[in-house]
Amino acid sequence: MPTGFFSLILHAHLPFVRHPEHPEFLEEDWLYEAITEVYLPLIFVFSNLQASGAQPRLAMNVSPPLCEMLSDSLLQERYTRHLENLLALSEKELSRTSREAPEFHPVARMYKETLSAAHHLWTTRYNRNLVRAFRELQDEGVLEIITCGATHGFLPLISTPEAKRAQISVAVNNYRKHFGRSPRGIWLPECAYEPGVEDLLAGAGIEYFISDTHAILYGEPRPRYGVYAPVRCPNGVAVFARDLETSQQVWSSVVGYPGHANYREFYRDLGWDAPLDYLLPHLHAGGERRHLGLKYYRITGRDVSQEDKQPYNPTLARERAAINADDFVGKRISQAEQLHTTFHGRAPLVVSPYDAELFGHWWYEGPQFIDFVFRKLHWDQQTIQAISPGDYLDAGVPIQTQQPSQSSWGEDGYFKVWLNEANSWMYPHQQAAEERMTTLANAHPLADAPLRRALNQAARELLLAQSSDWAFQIYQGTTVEYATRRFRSHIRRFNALADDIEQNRIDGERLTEIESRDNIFAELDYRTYRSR
Amino acid sequence: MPLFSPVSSEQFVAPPAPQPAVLSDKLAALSEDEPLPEAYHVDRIRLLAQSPRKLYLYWEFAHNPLETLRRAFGAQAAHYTLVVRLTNVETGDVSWHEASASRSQWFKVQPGKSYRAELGFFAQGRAFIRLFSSNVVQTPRAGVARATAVEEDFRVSPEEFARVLDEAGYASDALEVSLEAADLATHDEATRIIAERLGGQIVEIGEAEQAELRSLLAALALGVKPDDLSGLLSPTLAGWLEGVSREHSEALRSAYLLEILSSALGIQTSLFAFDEFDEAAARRVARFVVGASLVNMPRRPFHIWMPSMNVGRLKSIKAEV
Repeated sequence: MPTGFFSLILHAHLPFVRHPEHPEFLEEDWLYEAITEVYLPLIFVFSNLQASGAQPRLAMNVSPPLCEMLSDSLLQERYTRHLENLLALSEKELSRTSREAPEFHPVARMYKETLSAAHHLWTTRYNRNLVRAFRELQDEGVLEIITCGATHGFLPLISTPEAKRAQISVAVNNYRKHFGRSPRGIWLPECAYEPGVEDLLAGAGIEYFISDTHAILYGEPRPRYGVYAPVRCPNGVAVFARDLETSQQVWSSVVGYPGHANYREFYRDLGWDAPLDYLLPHLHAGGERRHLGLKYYRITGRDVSQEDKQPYNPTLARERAAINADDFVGKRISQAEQLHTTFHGRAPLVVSPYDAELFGHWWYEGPQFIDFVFRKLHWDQQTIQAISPGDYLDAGVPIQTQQPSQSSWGEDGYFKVWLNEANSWMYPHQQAAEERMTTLANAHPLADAPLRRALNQAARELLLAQSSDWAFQIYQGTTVEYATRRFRSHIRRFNALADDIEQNRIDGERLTEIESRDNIFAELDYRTYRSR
Repeated sequence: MPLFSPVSSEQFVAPPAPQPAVLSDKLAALSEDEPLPEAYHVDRIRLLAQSPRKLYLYWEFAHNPLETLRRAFGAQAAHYTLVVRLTNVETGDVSWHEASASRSQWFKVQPGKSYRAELGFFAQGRAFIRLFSSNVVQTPRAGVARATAVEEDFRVSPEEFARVLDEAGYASDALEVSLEAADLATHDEATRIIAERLGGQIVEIGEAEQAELRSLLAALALGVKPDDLSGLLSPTLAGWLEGVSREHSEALRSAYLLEILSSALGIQTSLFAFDEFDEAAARRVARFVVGASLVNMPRRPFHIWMPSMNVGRLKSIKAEV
């Protein structure tokens, strides 16, 4: 029996971005960058860990929109082009740096090697199908894949019970389609919980969800073991809450690991450093600079200006990842021992949920860090054991019953990020569509095509409008224009389809056009919005 | 050596000519550039909880209610104003607010309470004419619950719970619950006595205010400014805080308060290693990691916990005061 348990939970999610109407589209790069920097490296790390006998075990959410994008043939084709373009650039860089900038040559070689490996995994090993890769890892017992809201809709800000339920039921059906089984757990979008969510989950057969720390700490009655044991809602659904200490170690660039001088600097990118004429063949047709993912500098120091950054050294960075992994595991051991004493011999569980995109995209060496952590957990100690939330539930340890507290993992811990002066204008439109969707579904219990197609597409437009990503981006003030346009487009398409349905006059050509663009959830059945 | 020489030796290769976007006429009519419709011409009122102390309300009317009012009351209609009546459902406490012309507004409220908003017409000395009533929302709790488990296996004393909170990095709540433990040990007096050491007299307070006082002391000790708290307190405690701020402002410094708490509760101030969470860094992360959140981090997530409560010492404080 170990002294404590450790559960790493990764949340992989991107909003559904797919623009067949444009030959190239900047925001599609979000997916392509994440495939190169995050998903392929993580799949590579987990497969190797498993092959080497390290028995890694963790939970991972691959959100429904991400599954749908990873399975989309247009995006797969475009990513192949994107990757081959980067590969061509890295080859060009290899010869250029050997002649002109030898200090950077090892970095150029690293990119050439990692991009070649990525290309091999993408085209040969997984045949462009990363959902299959995740599914294999689940079937091999490495990952416990959990689901999420269908489009990452922020449940407490969805107005009707039917629309909340649809976010869950559509997600669960989509999970079954991609992973061939039912999900045991869910990453609530933005970890946003309000009392009553557990009933929707129980109705969909979900056993547990992930929450922020204070969902349990502020829950009633007081949690005997804090966040170091799950609790069960009165209806039996279990809750696993975030440990703050491990969050801080990875999130913070000041007190956390990713800020170390030897790690790769995020902001110096070849897409901005190189002369434009050199880059042009590798940019989009418009020729605008953009991040290309080839970054040659290290952080160097906290107060070092971007101009004074020093060349990246992949070997030193890898050593630092090993040192940090050692520190991380050491801290988990002392944390487990301390809590074990505090709890009079009961083994604590430390739950560490992160955005998967932190590992590899923001913190370039993050996948290496995870690799080292699991190796050390397996071979260098016996105090703590890596498990998934499902494993914990299967162990049959008595669990306290508690009503968790309303919360999210966003800034300040509640709903401010998604409901504030900058984005509150969205909710009257979204919530009107939510009510209208149920009215339409109730009015058409057995619709035939094309009415059924129109109803299904209206449901897709509503789901896409509900993505919490849009409100988040508007609050952040970064990609406000794109987020606003996306929200407007889905509401407009929904309203147009709803008008057609109400007037029983479906514009077939327009419907086909909308279906071809917003083609998420082919399996969707609008009747999930009917009142019960 | 620079990454790039001033003139690269690589040859310029012209990019392919941009291809025109394939935009269907069918969708061009559904422009993404235009704002969405101002209204849907339905009767709707909806209340949303944003945080423990803030609510958002929006509404719209199928028909202009002022016209109906004019038809019914004639010239008398001019005496009426469109207002929002916000009710705390549990206590029945009501606040009145002039309705915003923007058809939406924010309200400051209390944590852990249920609210309903009603929109209607108000005129001095006349009955309120209610047009719509909203859904009821519950604001989130902003701190720990009072109740402990009934089952023996999960029952937790304030002292143990404070330790658990501290382990979890919730320093402010740990401090508050440790004061609760002190109150239990000294029959509900420790917090008040500690507060009186800051100067200023607190008149008799009830159980609810005793809990509020614990939160107040914990917040002050962790560096929250008195000005940021004044609007959140009951009249008794707001009055006390104002008095202390005026006459003994130096006593409200975090370091001084911690010293008092340290001597009273045995807090190990040497363990204080406060480091501000790097909010700017979190924003940068989120900027490039789409879908990432500005993850909630309590401002001071470091341990402050005391080794154990010294009841004898706590009791002796009274004598010192």
